[in-house]
This record gives sequence, structure tokens and C-alpha cells, in this order.
Amino acid sequence: MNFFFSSPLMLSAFSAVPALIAIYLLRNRFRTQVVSSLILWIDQRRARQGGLQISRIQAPLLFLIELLIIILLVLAAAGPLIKAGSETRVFVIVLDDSFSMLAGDGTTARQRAVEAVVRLLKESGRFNARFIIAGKQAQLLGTSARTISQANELLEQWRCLSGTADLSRAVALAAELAGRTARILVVTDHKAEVDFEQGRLEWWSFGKPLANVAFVNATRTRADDKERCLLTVANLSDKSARTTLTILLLDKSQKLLEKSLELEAGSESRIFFEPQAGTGALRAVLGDDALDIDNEVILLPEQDRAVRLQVSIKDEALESAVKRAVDATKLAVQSSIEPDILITDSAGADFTSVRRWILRILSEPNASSYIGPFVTDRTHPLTEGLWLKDVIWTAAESSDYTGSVIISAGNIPLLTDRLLPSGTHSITMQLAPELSNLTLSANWPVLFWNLLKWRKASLPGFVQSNYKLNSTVTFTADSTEMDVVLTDPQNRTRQISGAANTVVIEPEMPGLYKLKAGDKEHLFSVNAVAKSESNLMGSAGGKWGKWQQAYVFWWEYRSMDWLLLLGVLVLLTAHRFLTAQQQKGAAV
Amino acid sequence: MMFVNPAWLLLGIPLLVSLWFFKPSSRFLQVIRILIIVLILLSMAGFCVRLPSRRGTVVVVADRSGSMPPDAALRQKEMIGLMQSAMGSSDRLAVVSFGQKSVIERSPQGGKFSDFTADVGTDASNLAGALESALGLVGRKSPGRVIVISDGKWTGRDPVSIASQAAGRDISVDYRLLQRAAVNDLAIYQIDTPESVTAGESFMINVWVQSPVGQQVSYKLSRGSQTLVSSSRVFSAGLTRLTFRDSSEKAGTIQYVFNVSAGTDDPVPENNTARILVGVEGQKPLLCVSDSPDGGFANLLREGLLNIEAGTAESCNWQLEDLSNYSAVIIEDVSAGKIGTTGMENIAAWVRDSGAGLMMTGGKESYGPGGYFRSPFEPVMPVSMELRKEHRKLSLAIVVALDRSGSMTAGVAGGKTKMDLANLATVQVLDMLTGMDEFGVIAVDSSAHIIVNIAPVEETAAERNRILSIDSLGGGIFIYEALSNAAKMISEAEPLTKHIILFADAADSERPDDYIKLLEKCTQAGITVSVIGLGKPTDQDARLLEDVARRGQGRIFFTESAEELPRLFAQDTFVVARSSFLDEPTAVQTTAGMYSLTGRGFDISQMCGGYNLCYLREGANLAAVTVDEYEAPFVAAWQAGIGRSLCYTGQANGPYTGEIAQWDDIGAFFTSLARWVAGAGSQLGPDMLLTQQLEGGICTIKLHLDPERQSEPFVELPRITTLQGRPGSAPQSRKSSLQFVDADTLAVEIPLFGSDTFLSTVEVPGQNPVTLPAVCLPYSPEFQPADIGRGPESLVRLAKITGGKERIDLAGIWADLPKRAQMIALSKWLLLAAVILLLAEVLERRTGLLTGAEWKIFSAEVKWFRFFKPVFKKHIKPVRKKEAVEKVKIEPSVEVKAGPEKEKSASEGLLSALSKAQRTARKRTERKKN
Repeated sequence: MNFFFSSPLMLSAFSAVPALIAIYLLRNRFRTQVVSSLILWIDQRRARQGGLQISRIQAPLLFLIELLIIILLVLAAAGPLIKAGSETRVFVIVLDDSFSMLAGDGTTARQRAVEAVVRLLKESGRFNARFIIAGKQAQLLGTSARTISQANELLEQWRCLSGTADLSRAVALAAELAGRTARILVVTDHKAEVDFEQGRLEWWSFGKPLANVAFVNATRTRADDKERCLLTVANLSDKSARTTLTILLLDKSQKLLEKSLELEAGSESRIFFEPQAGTGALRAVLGDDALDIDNEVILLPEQDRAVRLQVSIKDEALESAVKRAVDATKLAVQSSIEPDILITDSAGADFTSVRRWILRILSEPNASSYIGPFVTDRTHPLTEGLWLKDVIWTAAESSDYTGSVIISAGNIPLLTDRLLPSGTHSITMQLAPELSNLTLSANWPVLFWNLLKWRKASLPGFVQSNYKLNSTVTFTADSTEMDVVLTDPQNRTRQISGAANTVVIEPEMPGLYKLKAGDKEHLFSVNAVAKSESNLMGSAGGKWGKWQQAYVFWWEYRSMDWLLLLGVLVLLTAHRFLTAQQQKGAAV
Repeated sequence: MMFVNPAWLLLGIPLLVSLWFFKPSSRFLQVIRILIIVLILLSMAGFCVRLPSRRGTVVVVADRSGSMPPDAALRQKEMIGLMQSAMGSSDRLAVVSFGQKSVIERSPQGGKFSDFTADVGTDASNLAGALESALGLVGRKSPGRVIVISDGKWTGRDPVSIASQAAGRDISVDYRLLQRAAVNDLAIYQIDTPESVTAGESFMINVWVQSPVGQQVSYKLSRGSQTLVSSSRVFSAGLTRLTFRDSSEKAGTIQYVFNVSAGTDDPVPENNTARILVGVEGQKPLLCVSDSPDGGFANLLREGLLNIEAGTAESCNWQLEDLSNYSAVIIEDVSAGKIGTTGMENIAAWVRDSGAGLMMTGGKESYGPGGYFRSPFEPVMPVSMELRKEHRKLSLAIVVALDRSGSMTAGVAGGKTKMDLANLATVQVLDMLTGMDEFGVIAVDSSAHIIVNIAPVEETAAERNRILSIDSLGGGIFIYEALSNAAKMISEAEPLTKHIILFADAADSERPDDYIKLLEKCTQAGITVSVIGLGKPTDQDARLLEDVARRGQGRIFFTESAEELPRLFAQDTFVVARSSFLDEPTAVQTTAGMYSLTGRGFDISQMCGGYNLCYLREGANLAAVTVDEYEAPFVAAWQAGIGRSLCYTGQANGPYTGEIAQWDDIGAFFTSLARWVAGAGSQLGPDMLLTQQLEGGICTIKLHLDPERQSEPFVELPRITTLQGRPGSAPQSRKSSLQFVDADTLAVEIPLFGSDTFLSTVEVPGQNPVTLPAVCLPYSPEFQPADIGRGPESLVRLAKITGGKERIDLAGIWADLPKRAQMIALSKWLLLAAVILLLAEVLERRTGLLTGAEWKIFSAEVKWFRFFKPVFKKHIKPVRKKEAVEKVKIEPSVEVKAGPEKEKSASEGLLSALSKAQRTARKRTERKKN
């Protein structure tokens, strides 16, 4: 289609044409003439009635001009677009949002890129540019920019804080948006590795191959009763490098460790350390280099999510065996207040709590001993790592054991699991300790380790406290219906709704985040650790591709309203001239 | 506030000047005129202001996965049409469709949506990816809304994570439920088995069957081809659990298939059959593939205490889960055609990427004559199989008669046609020949066309171009025409070995005429004829082609896959050249390389009866060599990827084995070679444990390190290679690294798709590669009965998090876009205002109503209200006709004849007199005031 209106509804303003005709249907008023005597002005009454009487329509030149003006104005308001040779350059610009764009020795790749893009737009004269941010996903940036100020406003939103850049997806989106007439420009810091569609895409890279020493991994986890930290520092250059690793307490800035690292070209150094119990948030810092964002990580201690366990067992030997196994796991604290798990040898344990799981260890009076083979549901979390060879297990034939059978001896269920409507589990184990060697085998603590680990996974809070940039953070809330307030490292807050007691967050920048759920505040850190982005040796400057097939872009839909409005202005001037002439004639 | 084209404002200067010169009669008119001009200039300058506005983008996320109803696309299109019909001129509509992947079908724009065009794959529902794409299409800080048209089933990442992003950007996610009727869906809800067990260990297979009503259900559990359980019972409505027990003494992979049926119409039959794999740990056997599996070679290896399974190529299944039962495959003189291209691709990938072994023994059905030249095996073999001029003793002449009939236009993978591949195969024959040979090509439909006349093979560029440009022209191939012209052409050749390769469509070979007599003459003239038939041996003309090959004393090959043509053409050329398999007794001697393979040196004192002439590849380990003029590799081996590949070019068991069969050490020799191929087993060190867990369609592989370890076990991170296999196609290989997730654990996650099989191999530096048990999903997750959080509830959850809702009124979505401050171009509204002002100006100029005249429209004195009364009909008509004007009973004030100009001329004298009187009166009154 070579011609169409962008706002065809505006054509309804053609109703002004009958309005004009209606005005012309009304009689022209007489001019007011002040006279000395009313006798001389017999038709004075007609003057005040002028225009209120119907008259036959007149079609003088003025009417035709006014009619034409209205038609042109309405057409212009409807936004006429015509397919024509283009003076306006249409761009779709893909902006690499990964943090490697912040690298530089003086100026960053991002700064150089912004300058180049603005220069391009200035040199293009009239332009229409759309921007796509290529981060973890492709994101359209606002509406199109037609002026430099609009472009600058949009470019300010390009922050380069992403841990990855999905350029191929962004280019696909750009191609979709570009249609047939737009030029696609990719702005990044590394050279092109793709074949371009003929003459439609240019790839501008503003990177420089710079040496960089960076954190490429950082973890802090608790195992047993101690914490373990891992920092991986990589020398991402072709020369050996030396840097200083400093580990400080985040809140007091107290130095805990300062260490000089000598790293061979392209090598990694993994630093393991165990902070003392009760050590707060840590900040690890490397010496300055070409990229700052990957020289710092924050490591928060893992949230204290020990399982509260209540042991209510009458059989002393069994109680002792259970407590020994639980202590060995170091995953639980004994507590009778709102326990997460109740371990009992009572068959009639109640299920009133919505949070509490129950493990019942029941000794049947007519139990027999079994030496296997035991049939194990290896998919159940309780059976991980169990090795039941040489185990003697006691159980009785009974149909009372409902739920899924986890371990059985033939048809005799030894361990069953029943999911209750509240989402909690009721686990039943048949065991007469005096006839069995299970409590003496390695399987016993393994069984409790599995149970406590399984329970811990569904406790409220974060599964971990330290995340990589662009990873998904999941928070388990206390209740199924709740909103949480998230404060990002720039102190901006936003409310997030959870569903099914889970809140999922996708952090967009590194730093320390606070999440307030109810009256509790939880912290988690996000660190810019991404080896591929920290590695600047693959960065390069240059241009690839060429918008060489100008004929592809030669046309666009151009607005023709200016032409119509120029005509309107000319007609208005002519109209003014004619009415002035009339006045003059009348005055004479 | 801003201007897009501020330069137009400069026009204001001349316009205001013109207004100065031509002043209107009143100040009111002047103000109106100035306003009109200002409005027009502002419009031309592109005046924009920042205002709250709802104009924005709606993104439709359309589910096109396999779980959707058959007419889903049509209904989704209708829904999109409804939304389009209500969108404003500044609104934008985008469409994202998803299945296995998400694709932007339409970027944000106005206009009509045509149709879904992208291939998204139906085996999964990547809703999270689609939502991610959808959010990407809504500009930052712009109003937007997403509507998901889906059944709510999703696979892979939980879309809730994206919903939180959407909520953070104030983009609501609405939904419209569109799902299959699942009222009577009997389904396997879940099937649980351990990923791996030890040999002999008993384990449970738990199957949850979901029945919509209480009914009689038949079920069957099979292990491989063996039925373990087949029964039926009454299932109550809801979930019923069935537990089976099994164990296996044999290491490898056990494939279980469980099937349920109720005999009623099932809307989703795809979830009635589930497949699951269980790995059994232990030393895996070697598979010996032979045309005589009970023959001496396999038994010889068994005598060497190797765990050998033997079978014919036809009895073997070459899928990854089957191959993972073995540590290595030995191909004993079996032609490539019996294994098939896909089989060879699977074996090659399995060897290269999962650390398995491949051994090939020689013979007339092996190496080049067996069709392995340019086969998928060639890259993993330590020898190459080309025909080398310096080792050729006989020259030969070949004429290729190519079928260029209509069926050759059919497309194949890679955008090529069958004709293109036949042309490539012909060029390959040309490339294999040397200057001592002669070559010609004719293309045949209803007549023969000489493409390359028979001549010695010298400069081949022009010939290649001519062959590659052969086009299919329609019709069928006339067999007699092809044979007679080929025979005529080849009879002019000088070499004594004369051979015709006839390539024809097995379903469309016509007019054989008197081919029997012709072939008799050919045989007498020493001309042989082979036929390569495109199609099956059961096709209508296959018998004719077989007869041609038999009478022509050549070979017949049938293939349905045009991709195999180059390999088959090459195989036939190898056989004709007769220099690839040397059938004379030849002495052999071992080299130092034999020590690295077997740990000992063998003194091969006997001669072999023949061998395949191959050439050692760079980097290969030569373990034994022929003692003849060729000094060709007799035993060669190398590391192929992370696997092992060994070539024994002599015949292991057959007429060309030779005296070596009598050699005392022959058993130990072959056993040693096979043991090297089988590998040393894969055990990690005592301070490491490798686990694999399948949950929610994600396979998580973890390497656990001993927290008490004294030193780091590796510097480089362990690598993982995952083969993804699908029946009938080549496996795909993906490589990645395990990453530390905490100080003592490394992990990687592998998403599983559809019915594919995934086989992962972990390479820990300093350790042998460890291949994990093969894993698969029970069936395409698309057909999983709606689970909690994976059906309509997931859509409700998305809507709840983002403030969306179930959208019944699709057209109303635009009214629910959030208001945001946006730069609004006011041009059209300014022009509208200019039109109104212009009308006001005209009204004022002509009537003075707006400033001076009395408004008595509704007074009895004013007559024109009658315009709208019944008298209107009576009077308005005569108004238009001059002759009727007199009849209109309007008071004398109605003057219809005189227009303003005429009135002016008629009363000119009076007016000038009145003007004079006016001036006099004004002077008098002013004097009085003073």
C-alpha cells in the first residue's frame, strides 16, 4: 500500500464541512452603521437579526477557500503517510547490556559506544531509532527516538549491569522490529561471530583486549557446624598478574585477610577458607584493574535454618540411638516449641500442627527379623545413600501402614511416607531396635541426615544467601498468602506478591538486597561473577558488516501533513488578504 | 514539552507580519486568526507534551504446544482478531508463540495479524521463555499488558520468576484458558524408578495411574522386549499406585515401558505409555556385530574371558540407550549399509563423546568395499580409505547413468533435492578416479543426454560443474535408453575394466525393453553394471533393477535416504577398483605401538590371507604393519574424542584370514585388542562421588568432593558431554563444565525434552571418563495430566502475582492498560482545534453571533427554529427554488435573492451617504463628551 492514514478516525472531522455550509446558509449580517437618525435606517432591525435567518447558500471565493482549508486541516490531522524515498534513517540499535561494557582504561566501552551512537544519529539528519537492551533477555527500550535528546534519555537507561548478553536473541528481535526498511546496529565490545543478512546489519564493537583479574566464583555455605567459603580468582590475560585479595567484615570494614596473589596467564586460583562461627557478612576485594564490577563480592552467612526437632520416645535405647544420629547430622536443634519434626514411638501422634512433620518409629509385638533383599524406592529423598546389605530389620505383617512404601522386605512395609493435606509428611518406620542392627549401621545416621535435609529444604527463608548475577532467587515464605518488600542495592523498594508461599526474584544488579516479609528482614547478596563477561581478552574494537544495499532502505512511509499544512497557511494568508480587500472596499 | 521539528516555528514570523498588514475587522477575529496560525505551526513543529496515557502494547502469548486442542491456533487467531478490533491508533499488539521454544510471531505494531508461521516444537511448553520475550517487547516505562492463551501447562523454568519481573514493571499478565477436554483422560501420572542400581540390587518401580472414573484398566510392564506384567483390574477414580519389583544382574541400561488402556475413548492417548530407563552399574559387555554371530571370532574372544554379546547388524538397535549397555562395539566384516547411516552416526557419537570403544576388522564387506568411505565412521577411525593413484594397478572406466526424472526434484534435508545429492555422488566417483581412469556421465529421462563424454580423468573442474548443474526435468527413467547409451559410451573406453553405475528410482523405472539381450552383450564385452535404486526393495520396479544388477554382474543397493547416495556410489567404485581389498597372503609385523595397546609385544609369525588397503591417519598409533610394497596399517588405533577406536584391516574370521588363524597367540592377540577397545572401566577416586538426579524435567549432575580433602583434586573444571538421541536422527552433542556451587560440590543442570534419550559423560581431569546412566522423560511433558501449579492454576498464580485476571472480554484489555506519563504528540488535536476556530471565525465574520448579535434563536421572533419543525418540510424546499421563494411566508426580513456582493453594489450610494452621516454624528458626539 503506497498511501494510508495513521489516524483515520480523524477523518470524522470532515463534519466541519457541513458546519461551514450551515454557517453559509445563515444570512450574512449587515454591517453596523451608526447614523444620526433612525429614520434613515429603516432596516436596522435586520442587522441584529443578521445570521439568524436562513438564506440560500452562497459560494463566493472566500467560502471555497475556507472549505479547502478545512479539508486540508482534516486530512493533515488524519496523518497521511505516503511510501516515498527516505530522508529519515530508521535504526534499530541493539545495546550489549553485559557488565564487560563497563571495562576500560580511561573511557569505558559503554561511553565510547554512546558517543558513537549519538554521532551516528546526528550525522543521519532525520532519524527514527529504536533501542533494544541485550541482557539476559532482549528488552525493548521505550518508544522510538526522533531527536538526540530523546535518544540520550533512552541511552541513560542502558546501565550495563547484566551478567550475560543474549545478543543473538536481541538481534532476532531487532530484525523483527526492523521490518524491511530499518538498519540494524549492534553495539557491543566483542567482534562479530555471525554472518550478517546482506547489507542490513552493522556490528560495532568498542571493546579493547584488556588484562583483568576477577572473581569468577564466590560461595559461602554451611556444612555441619562450620562455614566454608570459596573464592575463585581468575587472571584473564595472557600475562602473569599479581593482585591483592582483601577480605573484610562488611559492616565494620575490619580486615580479616590480606593476601597477595600471583596468577599465571589464564589461570585460576581457588581460595577456600572457613570463617569463625558467628562471622557476619564478608566483603572480598581485589586490586583495581580494567573492570571494577568484578573486583568485589559480598558473602553473607547462610541463614540459620536449623530444623527444630522434638524427640518424644519412651524407649530409652531407641531415644539414645535417635539422638546420636541427629547429633551426628548437625542439621537440627532440639526444641519442643513449634518443632519442625516430631520423632516419636507413639502410634497416636496428633497431626494438628500445619508445619510439623512426624516420624513414628513403631515396634510391633509380633515383629520378625528380615535380612533382605530389601526393596527400596530409590527416588524417595529418604533413601539417598542407603546401602542395606547385611542389615537386619524387624517388622510385622500389618495392613495399618498407609502411604507410599519407601522400603519393604517382600510385601512387609518397613518405611512408609504419607503426604497429609496440610502438605506435611507422616513417616512411619517399623523397627524393634533390640532385634535389629539398623541403629548400629551407617544407614541409621544417613536416614536421619536425609530426613532433616528434606525437612530443611522446605523451611521458610532463602535456600542460600549468595547468588550470582542473573540467577533466580527463591524465597520461601511462612504463609501461603503474602507480599514482601524488596530493597535493591540502590535503595529502591518494590512490593512483590508471592504465590503458594514462594516469592521469586530476578535481581538486575550486583549488591546487597533486603527483603522484608512480615516483620522479618532477610538479606541476600548478588555478585557479578561471570567468567565470560570478565574475560576482556576477547574484546575488540571495530566494525563488521555494511549497510551497503541502500536500495533496501530507500523508501519509508513519510508523513505528508507538513505539505498540507503549508497549503493551509498559504490559503489562510490569501483568505486574510481577500477579507481585508473586502473591508477596504466596504470602507470606501 | 518538546518539539520534533522546531524549525517550522520560524514560519510564524512572516505569518504574523502578513497579519499585521491585513488586519481583520475586529480584534476578536484577529485573536482567532492568530490562534489558528499558532495551532497549525505547533502542529507542524511536532508539539509533544508529557501526559498520562493508556496507549501501549498488548502482547499475546499463544501456547502452540502439543497439549493444546487441535483447533487452538484457529481460536487463538480469532481471539487476537477480537483484541485487534478494539485497539486504538496508537496502540500496539505483539504476538509471541511458544512450544519447545518461544518465537516472536509479530513485533509490536498496528495492523492485522496474519497467522502463526514459526516452528516452535510441540514437545514442551516454555512458558517462562515466552513471558520473557513478551516482557522484552513492552518498552521500559511504557504501558503494557500480557495475555497468555494457554492450558497453563509449562515445562522447564517456573514462569513465576518471570511473573515477579512483570509485577516489578507494572505489567499485568492476564490469561484466557484454552485446553483439551480431559474429562475421560486415563493417564500415567508418574513413574518412579532409581536412575541407577547396582547389579543384583532389588528396586521398586512405582507407577501412579490417574483414572477419571472407577473402571477396568488393563496395564502392561515390559522390560526391553520381555513382558514382565500384563494384567487388568478395577481402578478407582483418582490416583492408584502400582508397585513392581525388579532387579538385574547385567550391567547396562534397562528400558521399561509401562502401558495402560481402558478401552474407552481417551482424549489424551499420548500419556498412556511411559518409558523409563534404569542404569545398572558394573562392567559392561562388548558387542560383536557379525554376519555370523555364532562364528569363531566372538567365541575366540569369549575364550579370552571377555564378556561378549554377539548379534547381526539387523538384530541390533543403535539407539543411545541400547549402546549404553556396552563398553564397545566390534564390527566384524559387516557392510555399512546393514548398520545404516543413523546407526553409524549414533555409534560414532557414542564413541567420541561418551568414552566407548569401536573396533573394525577387515574383509570384502568392510572399510572401502563395505561402504565406510565418507561414512560417519570415517572421522573416528585411525585409518583413511581413499583410492591412491600410486597404489592402483588396474585402470578402469566408469559411466554413470543418472535418473533425472520428476521424482528427483523432491527435497531432502539441508535444502537440497535428491537430484543434487545424486549429482554430488557422481562427482564423488569422479574425484575417486585418477588420470589412468576414464569417466563419463549421462542423464536419462525418456532419452539420454550426454553430460560428460567418456574421457581420461584429467582436469575435472568443467566436468564437475556440468554434473552439478544437472536438473530434474520430469517423467520417469527409460531403463533401456539409459543402459544402451551408457554401454555405447563405455565401449569406446580403453581400460579393460568397464563399469556402468545406473542410478534409478525404484518406483518409477520404465521401458526396460530388451534389456536382457543388451546386458548379455555387455557381459560378453566385459562391461559390468551396478544399480543404485532410490527406494525400497519392495517398490514396484525394484525387481527389474535387481535383475539388471544380477545380469550385469554388479551389485544392487537400495536406499530410501538420498543422503546415503554419495556413500553408495563410493562403495561401488571401491569394489570395481579392486585395489582396496588385497586378497593375497601378506606378511605382517608388529611395531612398538603394540605395547601401548596390549602391554606386550606379539610376534606375528603367520601370514594373513588378505587385507583392506588403508592409510594411517596423522596422530594414530600404528601397532602392526604389512610387510609388502604398501607397508599399510594392519593394526592401528587412536583416541577418538574421549573414546577409543581400533582398526584391524585383516579378516578376523573368513576365507581371507589366512595362516594367521593358526597362530598360537591369535586368541590372546584379539583379546588384548578388544580389551583395549573396551577400556579400563570408569571409577572416580575415593574422594569423589558423582550423582545424577532427574526432577521436573531437569537432570542435575553433581560431583561431590570430600570436604576433608587435603588438596584440590583438579585444576581445570570437570567437563561434561551430553548426547541427546532421538530415533531416526543423528544425536546432538552438548558440552559444558561443572561449576562449583559450594566449596565441596560442583553441578550442572541439563534440561530434558520430549521423548529424547540423554547420555552424559563426565571427564574429571586425571580420571577416566565416567558415563552416567542414560535418562529420558516418561513421555512428552506436554501430555502430563495437570499437576498442582502446572495447569490452569499456574495461570491463576501468574495473574495473581502480576495483578492480572482471567480475561473474558478480550476487547477490553486496552482499557485496562495502566496510565503512564508519555510524550504525546498533540498535532492532530491541535489541527482539530484549528478547524473549530476557523468555523468560529467564519461564523463571527458572517453573523457576528459570537460577539455582538443577540441570541434569540428560541424566541418566537426568530423564525429559523422552524427549520426543525414540520414547516421545515413545507418551506425548505421552496427556499432552494428561486420561483418558489415568493411563496415562503417569512417576514420581509427574509431576503433570499440578494447576496452580499449584490447587496453592496445596490446600496453603494446609500452606504456612502450613511457613512458620511455617521462620521458627522461621531464628531458631534465626541465633541459632546469632551
